[in-house]
Amino acid sequence: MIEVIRLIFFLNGKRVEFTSRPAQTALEVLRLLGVNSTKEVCSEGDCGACTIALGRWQHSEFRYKAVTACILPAARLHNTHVITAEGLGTPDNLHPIQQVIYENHATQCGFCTPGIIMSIFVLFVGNPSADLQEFKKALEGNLCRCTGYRHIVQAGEALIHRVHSGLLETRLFMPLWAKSAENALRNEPFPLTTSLENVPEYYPVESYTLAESITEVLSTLKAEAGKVKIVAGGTDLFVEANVHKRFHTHYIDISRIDELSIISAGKDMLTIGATATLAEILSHPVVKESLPALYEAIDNMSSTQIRNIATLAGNIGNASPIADGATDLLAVSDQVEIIGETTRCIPLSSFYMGYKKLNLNPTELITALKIPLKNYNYCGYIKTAKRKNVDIASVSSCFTLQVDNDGSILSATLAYGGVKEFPALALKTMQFLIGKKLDEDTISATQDIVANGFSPISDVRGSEEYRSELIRNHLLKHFLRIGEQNND
Amino acid sequence: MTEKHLSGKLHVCGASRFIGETHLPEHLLHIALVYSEYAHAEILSIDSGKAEVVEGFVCCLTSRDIPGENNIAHGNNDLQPLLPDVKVEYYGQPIGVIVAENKLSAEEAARNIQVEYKELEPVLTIEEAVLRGHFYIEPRKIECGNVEKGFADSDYSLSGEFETGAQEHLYLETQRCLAVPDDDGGVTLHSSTQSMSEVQTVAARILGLPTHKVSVDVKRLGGAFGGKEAQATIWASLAALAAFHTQKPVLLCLNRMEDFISTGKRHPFKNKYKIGFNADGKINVYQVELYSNGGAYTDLSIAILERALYHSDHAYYIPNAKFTGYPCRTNLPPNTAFRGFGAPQGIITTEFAIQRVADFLGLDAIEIRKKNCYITGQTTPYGMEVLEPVGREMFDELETLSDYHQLRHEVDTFNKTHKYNKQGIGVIPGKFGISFTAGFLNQGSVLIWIYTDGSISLSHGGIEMGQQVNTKIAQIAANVLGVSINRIRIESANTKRVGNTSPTAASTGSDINGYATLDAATRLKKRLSNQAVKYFLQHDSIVTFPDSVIFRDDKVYSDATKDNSCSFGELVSFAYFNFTDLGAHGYYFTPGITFDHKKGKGKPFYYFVFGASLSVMEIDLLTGEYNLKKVVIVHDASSPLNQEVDSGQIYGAFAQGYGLCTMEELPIDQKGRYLAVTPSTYKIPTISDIPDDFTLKQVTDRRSQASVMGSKAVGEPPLIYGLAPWLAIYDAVRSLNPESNQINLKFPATPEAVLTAVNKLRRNNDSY
Repeated sequence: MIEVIRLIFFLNGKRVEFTSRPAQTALEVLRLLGVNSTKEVCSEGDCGACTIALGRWQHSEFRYKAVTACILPAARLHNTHVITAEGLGTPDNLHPIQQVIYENHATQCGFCTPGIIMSIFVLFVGNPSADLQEFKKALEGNLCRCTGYRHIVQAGEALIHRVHSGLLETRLFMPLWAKSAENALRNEPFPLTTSLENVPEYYPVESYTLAESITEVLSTLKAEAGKVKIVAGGTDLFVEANVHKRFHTHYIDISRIDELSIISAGKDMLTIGATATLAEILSHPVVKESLPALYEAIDNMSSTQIRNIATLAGNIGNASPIADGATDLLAVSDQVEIIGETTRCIPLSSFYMGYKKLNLNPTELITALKIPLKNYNYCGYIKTAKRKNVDIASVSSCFTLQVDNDGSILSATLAYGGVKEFPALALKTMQFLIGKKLDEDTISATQDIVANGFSPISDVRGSEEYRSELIRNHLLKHFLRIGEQNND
Repeated sequence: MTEKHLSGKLHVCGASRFIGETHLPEHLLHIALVYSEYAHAEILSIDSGKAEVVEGFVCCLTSRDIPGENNIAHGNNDLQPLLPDVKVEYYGQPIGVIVAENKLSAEEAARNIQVEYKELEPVLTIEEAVLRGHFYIEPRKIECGNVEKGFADSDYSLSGEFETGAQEHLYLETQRCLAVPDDDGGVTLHSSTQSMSEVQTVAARILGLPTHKVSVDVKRLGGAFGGKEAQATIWASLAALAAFHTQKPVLLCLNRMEDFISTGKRHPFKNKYKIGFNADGKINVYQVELYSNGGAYTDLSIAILERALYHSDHAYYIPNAKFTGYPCRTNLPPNTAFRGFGAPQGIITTEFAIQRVADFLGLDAIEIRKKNCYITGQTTPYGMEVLEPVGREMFDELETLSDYHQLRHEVDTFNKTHKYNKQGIGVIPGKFGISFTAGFLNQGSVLIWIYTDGSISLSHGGIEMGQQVNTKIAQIAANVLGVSINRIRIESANTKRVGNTSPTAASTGSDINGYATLDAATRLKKRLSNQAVKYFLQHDSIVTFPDSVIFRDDKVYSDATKDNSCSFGELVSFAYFNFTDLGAHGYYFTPGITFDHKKGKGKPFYYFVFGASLSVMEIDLLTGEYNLKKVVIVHDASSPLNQEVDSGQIYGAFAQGYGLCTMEELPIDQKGRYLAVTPSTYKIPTISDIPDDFTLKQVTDRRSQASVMGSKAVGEPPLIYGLAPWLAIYDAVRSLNPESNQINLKFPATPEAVLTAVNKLRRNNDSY
C-alpha cells in the first residue's frame, strides 16, 4: 500500500484535480493531464525543456517562477497556478512572446521551444524592464541544439525593443484568466487529502508528505528514524530518482513550512531559513551588499529554473564535495542551526565528516544557516568549470580578508570545493596569512602552502593535475582581484 | 517576405506533436531494454524467470524470437544483429526486449533479467585496433601528382599527428518508435528516423515480411543531426518486433541516459600528416593518413571516412597529395553520422598543418590560406574540377567585414598589455562537397494532390527535423503554381506515399526533394495550363496558349497583358470536371555523380558550398577558461530558398562546431563505458556561450554551380565555421611564445586542455 495525495491546482486558469503517487514529478502529472508542451528531455533539470510558470501565494503576494517540472515534486503543484505554453496562446492567436519567437525564426525542431517561451514569459512578468543580458541569463537553463541561439537573441532584442518603446505592454503578458485562478487560490486554499492505494510491490516509494510544521517533521523523523528523506528543494533527490532510479521509502517535504523560508538580517548576522530558495537569497539586498562572494556563488549556481527550487541548506545537506554554496559558506564562517531533541548550532567546518557524511542525526533537521556579517576588505568567489554557466565546478574557491589600517592581515578564510571528499578550508594558508602584509613574497609563499594542502582526485570534471593547478591559481586570482579592487 | 517555419506557430504554442507523447493508442504496451554490461563478452545465458513474475510483464524477446533475418545493417556486406545471440560487441548493446503493460513494470522486469557473460578483452582505441589490424575495409586512397617529388621539391616539410574527439548529438527528442500492428500481419512504425525507407526495409527483413507489409510514418523529429540516420533503425526494429509478437501497439522511448550510453557518436579520428611547402608559403604536397574509430559495427563508417578523405584538401589546391583512410573496428557503440560526416575531422587536421606552416614561416596564417586557396579550373586530388572562384572571394569578404588587419593589431596590443589573459584569432575557410557520396542515394520523389477546392497536399521523401525542409518544399511548389504557401499542406513523410526514399542527410534534403517537387508541380501546372486555355475560351471567349497562362497570387491569368483571370480554386474545379488528373508524382536524380574507389577518382559532388569565418577567443592563463568574443562568417548562399532558414542553419551549425572543438568531451573508461552520459556532465553551448558580436553575411550572388532554383545546401557546410574558435585558442596560446613550434593543444580544447597547453609551452620557454 502506498499513500497517494489528492492534488488540487489550477492549470492554465482551470481548476484540476489529480491523484498523485508519492514522489511523482510535476512533469509526469502534467503530461498525464494532457499537457503537450512540457517536454521530457533530460529528467535532471539541465535542459529547461519542461520549464513551466509556477505561481502561488507566498508572503501575501502571488508570484510566478520558472521551474523545471522534471525535478519538481508533484506534491508542490498543490494550491498553485501552473501556466504552460499552450495556455499563453493558440496558433491562431499567438501570445506576444510566441509571436516574436515565431517571427524571428527562433524555433527549429520545436522541442525546446515551449520551455524557452515559458522562461521568457516569467522573466517579463517579474521584470518588465528586463534587458538583453537579463534575457540571456534567464535562458541559460534552456538548451537548444538547433538554433545556435542567435535567432532567439534577435527575438529577445525585438521583444525588448517593443516593450521599451511602448509597442507592447507587459502587463498584458499575463493572460486575463490568471486573476481568477489566483483569487480562487487566495480565498480557499484547498486541503491536501491522502488515501491509500494498492500498487505493484516494485513501486519504490510509500509516501511523500508535504509537511506543514517543524513539529510534524520532527515527529515523523522520530517515528520512522532512518527511513525518511527530508526534501528541501529536491533538485538533487529528484535527479537521483529520475536518472539513477534511487528512491527513498518515505519523503517529507519541508518546502511549504513558511517559517523555514525566512531570510532575516540582523546587525551582525544573516539568518537564512532552510527552505529559502537560491533565488530568494540572491534577491535579498543584504546578500549583495555584505556578502558579495555568496552573491557571486549563487548567481553562478545552475540556472534560473533551479535557483527557483533549490535551497542553500539543501546544497549543504546533500554533502556534495563540490557544492558551490557550501564552499562559499565555509569561508564566510557559517553556522548550521539544527533542530532535533534540542536545538544546536555547529560551525559548517565541523558539519562535514567524510564523503557524503554529515554531523547530523537521522532525527534532526537543518533549520537555518547563520552567517556573520563582517566588514570584509575582500570577499570573493571563483568557480572554474568546463562551461561558463550551468555547470558543476572543477574547482571553486572562496576567499575573505580583513586587514587592519597598516595593511596587516587580521583574518583570512579560504575554502575550496572539488579538492577532497567535501568542501574544505585551507587552514594552513589561513594561519600563514595572519599578520602578514599582502606583498609578492606573501603571495608566492601562500601558493605553495595551499597546493600542498590538498590531494584532489581525477574524474570527468578534471584531472588531479588540473585541480592542483587550479588550487594554486585560484588563490593567485583572488590576490589579483584584491589588487584590482584596491586600485579602483 | 521571408516565409516562416511551417510548424512555427504550433511549436511556440507547444501544440506540435512528437512521437509517443500524446494521442497514444489504447492497450499500449511499453518496452524496457536489457543492455549489455560489457563492451565485449560472450553471452552464456539469459534467464527471464524473475522478470516474468513482475506484475504487468508481457514478454521477453531475445534473438531467438526474430522471425526473419537477425541483421539490421543496411549495406550488403555488413552484419549487425538486432539482438546478438552469442556475443556482445559494445557496452549498452540491447540484448533483450521486455514488453510490459506500463513503463515502470517493464523497467522492473528488465532489472530482473539475469544474464551470464564471459568477459572478453575489449578493443577501445584506434591504437589498439591498428595494432590488431581491426579494419572494416582495405584502406581507401586518394592520390594525385607525385608525393615523393613534391617533398623533394619543397623547401621545408612538417609532420605530426592530430586527434579529434567524439561528439554526442544531443538531439532533444530521444530515440523512439511507436509500432502499431496492422490487421494483415503487417506493422506501421511511427519512428523518429531520418531514413524511413531504411527503417522499413530493415524492419521487414527482421520480421521476415515483404517490404510492403511495413509502413513508416514520420511527422517530424525533435532534432537529429545525423544521429537518426542509421541509428533510429535499431529502436524501430525492436519496437516492430514487439508489436509483431504481441499484436498490440508498443512504444519504445529511450530515456536520456540510455540514449547517451547506447547510441553512436561522431567518430574520433587520429590522423598523421606531413606537409611540404616553400619559403613563400606555397604548399607543394600534403600527405595524410586518417584513422577513424568506427565502433563495433560498420554503420556509416566507410562513407564517413570517404568524406573525410574528400575534404582533406579542404579549400586548398594541393598539386601532390596522398590521402589514406583506415576505418577501425572497436568495442564502442557503432559511431555514426553527425553533421559534417567526417569532413570536420579531415578539415581540422589540414587546417592545423597549415597553421603550423604559417607559424614555421613566421607568417600570418590567413596569408598562407589565401595563397593556396583554389582558383577556377584547378582540380581536387580526386579529379573534380573547381569551377567557380568563390573560395578566394569569401576570404576577401571576410577580411573586409572583420577589418582583419586592424583586428589583428588590437589583439596584439591586448596581448602586450595583459599578463594573465591572452586573445587569439582563428580563421577557417569552408568548402563543402554536396551530394551523397554513395551515388545512388542522390534521388528524390514527391507526390502532390490538388483537391477540387484548390487546396494542395504534398508528400515528399524528406524528413522534417527542424531544418525546415517542409517550408522550403512548400515554397517551391507555391512558387511554381503561383499560390500562397497556406494553400499547401506538407504531409508527414510516409513510405506509402513516397517509397524508396533516401535518408534526409548529406545536406541534400531540399536539393533532391526540392527538384522532385519542381518536377511534380510543373507537371500539374502544365495540365492546369491546358485547362486554363479551355476555361478562358469558354468563360471569356479569350484565345490563349498554355505557355502564356500565368499562375500568380492564387489566381490564373490568361496571359501577361490581359486582365482576365480566375481564382486558382475555380480553375482546379473546372479541370476536375473536365477529367484532369490532379495528382502528380515528381522525381529527380542528381546527374553526373560518379566515383571509382579503386582509382580514387571521380566526381563525388554536384557542387561545393564555400565560406570563410573568423573567431576571436580570449583565454585565462590561470584556469584555461575562455570567452568567445567575436564571430564573423561569410557564407556562399547562392540564391537561397529562404535566407532566414539558412541563417538559422548557419548559426546552429556554428554552435555545434564550437561545442565540438571546445567543451563537448566524451571520455571513456577502461570498460568501454562513456563517462559523460547526461547533460549534467556533457556540456553543450548555452545562450551565454554565443557572443553578441556575431556577424553573418550571406553572399547571395547566384552561382552556376548550385541546386534547385539556384539555392545551395546549407545543413552541414557551416559546421566548419565553428572550428575557428579552436584555431583562435591555439593562436592565443601561441602568443605566449610565437617562436614555438611545439604547441600541444588537444581537440576538444576544454579549459583543462588549454591550461595544459599553456603550462607545457611555459615549461618549454623556461628551459630555453
